[in-house]
Amino acid sequence: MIQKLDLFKVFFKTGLISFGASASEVIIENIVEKKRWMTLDEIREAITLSGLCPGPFHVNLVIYLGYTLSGKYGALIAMAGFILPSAIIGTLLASALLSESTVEFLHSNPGIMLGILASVSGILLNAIRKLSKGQFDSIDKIALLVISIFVFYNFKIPFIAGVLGSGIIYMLIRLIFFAHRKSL
Amino acid sequence: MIQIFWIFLQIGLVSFGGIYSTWALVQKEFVEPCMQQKLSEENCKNAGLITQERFDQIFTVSRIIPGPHITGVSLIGFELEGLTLMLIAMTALLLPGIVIMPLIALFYKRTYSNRYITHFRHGALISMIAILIIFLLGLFRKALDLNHFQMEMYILLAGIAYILNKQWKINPGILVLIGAAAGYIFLQ
Repeated sequence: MIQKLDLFKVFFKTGLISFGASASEVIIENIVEKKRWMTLDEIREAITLSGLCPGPFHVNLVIYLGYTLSGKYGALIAMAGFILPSAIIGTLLASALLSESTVEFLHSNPGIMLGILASVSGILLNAIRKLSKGQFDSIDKIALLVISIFVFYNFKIPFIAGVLGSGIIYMLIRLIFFAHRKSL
Repeated sequence: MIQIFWIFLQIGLVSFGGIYSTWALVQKEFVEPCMQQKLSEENCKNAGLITQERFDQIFTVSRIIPGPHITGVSLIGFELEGLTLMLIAMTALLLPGIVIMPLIALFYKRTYSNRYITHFRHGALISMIAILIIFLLGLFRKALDLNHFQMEMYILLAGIAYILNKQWKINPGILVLIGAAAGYIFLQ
């Protein structure tokens, strides 16, 4: 059984050092590579399931991981750890963040925001690499990925519809065209 | 206050996946009525709404807060009525996940070995990866609005961050700080 304090610490750190979309990478690195609490496949499952739940995606992911690793209190502890750094910073500095001077500073120095976004892009790319490693081993999977990207990019369909649709389409493909293979 | 809680609960319930869907919903709730009725800045505030300009500012500022973006979204609550409302907004945004995620986990455990569900999950994962790629494209699309030099710098910085993260496992928090500093120097 994983110590609750340990759980809290790991997710507190995750919350502190992740910005936006880079959280996936931080979670994979800490849970899979450093702590070895889960395998990469289990994280993939977790990410899929989090996408099916309403609300902020990374928070859902953390709730799921906490729940799987350490039960219902684990879920709350992991979530609290993940949110606390930003909640503390956000609430304590709210008036400073929203003040005229901060807004003015960020407005006149757009490079700072671009630099942050560039770093996040690189980190997110690494997360995508890790998640897709060994995943696209058949032509139907690659086709589905390309179609998904095309559909999400060009049509404003809700993500949940895309995820459900993609799951159902893949299930049908497998059942219709690959039904004779027992190993699936 | 209950009204705000309810609005943010709805936003939490219908926003799936990403930061942009949540912000788009916030914009629809708090900014669009203000624009439709063509209210002045003053009247907009009095009606408990937010101007487009202020919304853009809050969105930008929110991105320098580490961690999940719900804190950033809750800044809207702070802007409207201060700290209490910010905390209420935050709670409302978290609630759906706290309730629904464990249910999904339980359902997953029950159906783990079901063949149909397994296929479904594999397909769903593909579109989750597609969503992450869409985020990435969204981040790079920002670079297209820049001038040529800035665009190259942006791509270069992203590449450096990728390599540092992949090869030397440099802490993403530090990478973001380096990115901010590099952006300040090279990307103005």
